[in-house]
Amino acid sequence: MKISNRQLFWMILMMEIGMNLLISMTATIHNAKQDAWISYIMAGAAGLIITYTAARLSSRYPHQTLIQYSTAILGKWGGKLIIIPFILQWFWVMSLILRDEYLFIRLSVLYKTPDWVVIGTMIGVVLYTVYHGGIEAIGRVSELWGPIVIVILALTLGLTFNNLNWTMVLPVYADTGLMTIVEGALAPLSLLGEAVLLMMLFPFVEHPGQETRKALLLGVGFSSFLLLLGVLWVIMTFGPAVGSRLQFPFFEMVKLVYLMEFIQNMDVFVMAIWLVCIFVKLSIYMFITCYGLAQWIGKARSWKKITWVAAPATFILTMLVIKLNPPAGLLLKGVWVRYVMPVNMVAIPLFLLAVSFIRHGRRPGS
Amino acid sequence: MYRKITALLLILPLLLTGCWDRQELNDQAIVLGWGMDLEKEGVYLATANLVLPLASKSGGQQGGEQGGRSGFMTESAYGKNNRDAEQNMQRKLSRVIFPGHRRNIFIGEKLAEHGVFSILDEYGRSPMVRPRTNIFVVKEGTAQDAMSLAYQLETNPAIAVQKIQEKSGAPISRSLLDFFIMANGTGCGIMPALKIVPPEVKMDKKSKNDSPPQTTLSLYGAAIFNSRLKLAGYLNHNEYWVRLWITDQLTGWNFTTIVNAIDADQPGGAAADALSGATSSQAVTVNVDTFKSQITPVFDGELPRFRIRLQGKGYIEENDSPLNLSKTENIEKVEARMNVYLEERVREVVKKVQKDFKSDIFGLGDMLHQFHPYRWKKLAADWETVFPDIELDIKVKLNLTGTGVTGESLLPDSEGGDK
Repeated sequence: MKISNRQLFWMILMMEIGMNLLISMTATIHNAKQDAWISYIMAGAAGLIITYTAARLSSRYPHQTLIQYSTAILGKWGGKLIIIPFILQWFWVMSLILRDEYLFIRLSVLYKTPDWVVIGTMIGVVLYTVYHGGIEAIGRVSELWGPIVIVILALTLGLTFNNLNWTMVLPVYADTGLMTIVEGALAPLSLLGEAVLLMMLFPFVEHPGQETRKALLLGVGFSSFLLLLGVLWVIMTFGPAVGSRLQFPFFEMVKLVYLMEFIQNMDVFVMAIWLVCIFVKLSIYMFITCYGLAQWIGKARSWKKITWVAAPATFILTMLVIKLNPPAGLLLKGVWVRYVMPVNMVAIPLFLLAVSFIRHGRRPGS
Repeated sequence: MYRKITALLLILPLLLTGCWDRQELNDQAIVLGWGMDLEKEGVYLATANLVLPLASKSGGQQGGEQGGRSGFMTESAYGKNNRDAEQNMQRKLSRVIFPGHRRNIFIGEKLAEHGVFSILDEYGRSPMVRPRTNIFVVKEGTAQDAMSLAYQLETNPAIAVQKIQEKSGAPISRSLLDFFIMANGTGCGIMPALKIVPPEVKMDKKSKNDSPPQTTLSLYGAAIFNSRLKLAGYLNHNEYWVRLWITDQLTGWNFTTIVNAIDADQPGGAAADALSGATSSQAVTVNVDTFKSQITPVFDGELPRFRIRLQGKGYIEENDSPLNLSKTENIEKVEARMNVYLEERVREVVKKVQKDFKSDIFGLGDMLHQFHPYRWKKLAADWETVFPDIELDIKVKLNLTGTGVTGESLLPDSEGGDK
């Protein structure tokens, strides 16, 4: 099971773009109003730093996953304990993504289809991919679909260009101020920061090293750039007031495409690529959850068996989330931004990196 | 392997038994237009324009009638709001109402006067409909009146008004979205207005196949809403271009003014002279296709002033005056005359908007907000009260680039001119 650097780039790109385009914009525009694009620049910069830190850490142990080198750094018990937040995060993320997927699909296409069908089919496909193909299949899917995603996004941005009214991004800074802009950056950053899962993927790359780091940073950088364009487009189409009230402003913007009578209803394409992005993201998470869990309990070879536990568990968790229906704002802001981002994306990688430097010096013997 | 496949085949039917969102085309009543009227406080009359499936199938006969049947149907129902009325309407319909193509919304005048705050929410909330929607106010009528009227050139009157709007020089199918965006800005709104117009001259059919002009729907202009989203008044078609030009949205317009003999007699005379002695049927029409508007706020007093410079490029399309257009100085005369006429027109309309409607439909407040945000912070709170007294300095400058395929008119100049 090996993936190439290029496949890693596409995986990161698709993983970052899908959810972010759909759910982070409303929160950001709500806080930062027409300056949301500054928030996205900030989020992109911070996302690159987070990615770089994590990649730096992984490069010190290029043939080990996070689970393995955390024990190498902190010893057996410390290493195992520090993984727990990640395992919780992975299950948490999967059920949240699935719930958002279900909500979005119910809202825009399948009004009456029961939740378990929408979620079950997605989990079924993910399970199939992970079980039969592993990370290699995910890498190939990303490499195949990534360029298509880019082309369709470019096309939608191009086709909605005539709706733009650039004065809507004005006035810059006057209405908001630094704090609100930073606050607006948190939502996209918390999703961009998910690139830390590279710590699990690093050893699967064929020749992990400098090129891998470059691919990762390029992936995060390029997706931040696309998101920046996306949010600029949304602000210039709807203005900050309407943009912050629509639940899925990017998607609504695509619905506006109307050129020469026959070019319209572009939203089906965007819906399609969005689903592929979600599929890739879920598959990556499913894979690292199963593989990580297997390594964590010390039976890395039989990781495939774990999929039979992880997939039903995710299904049940998702159904629970749907039934309990916690408010989306609480989940994104209250839990994800407040706990997961600072702990899993910033504190633990930094802490591991620091301890690794102290204990192993510049060049750790792997 | 085979066991796996058999297992899969056994499981699949379990999953595929239900198709929850299946909706046959034959079970849908496709809504093309939706109208709302105020019946009395809290009770609305909704009217739906539905596609008649049989009528749209037979392609032999074009036009509003097919074998004596009209090509569309309307259905109505009372309700407390849009969805309530829709549910009430459903009870009269054998097919499920499908609003995915609801591209035109009609608002009766009474409802517009009462305020549209109470019904507009659904048009932005429903996930079934597209955000590209036209919304119209029916002047001096109800939505139902307008929607029941057959339209000759198209099978469906809802399609007809949509197409009329597309040809009006304003942005296409954005009126609902623009209304939402505008209402969030300096707090006023604009919707295109329709009016049911009888033919100018009434004529009886002399034989069965005659087709004299009939009462039909026409684009009247724009309805202006104040900050409480109540109808403040109308601008007619010949006034509405002013707003479009100032906000840089106009895409094409013909301007016609009277150029009289004085212009021809006194070369180099002031263009203003022409205003006084206008005679009839000596009109010049200019087709303008490139518009530019430049607004600069000036802060020298307590209130800001605005310098508005409107520019346009076009050519002369019709000249019934005695002016010989092969001479450059005569084209300049038309230009000067046009500028005076247009300036006068723009001033009139701007004054009407400021004094009568008191709504900032030109987006001047938004402009201050965008380009002078710190000054705007002081003005924002009472912009609405201040706006009617804002001083506007308006200049129009047309640039005529051509005279069509002739310079001098093909007519001999025996009549019309004094030459």
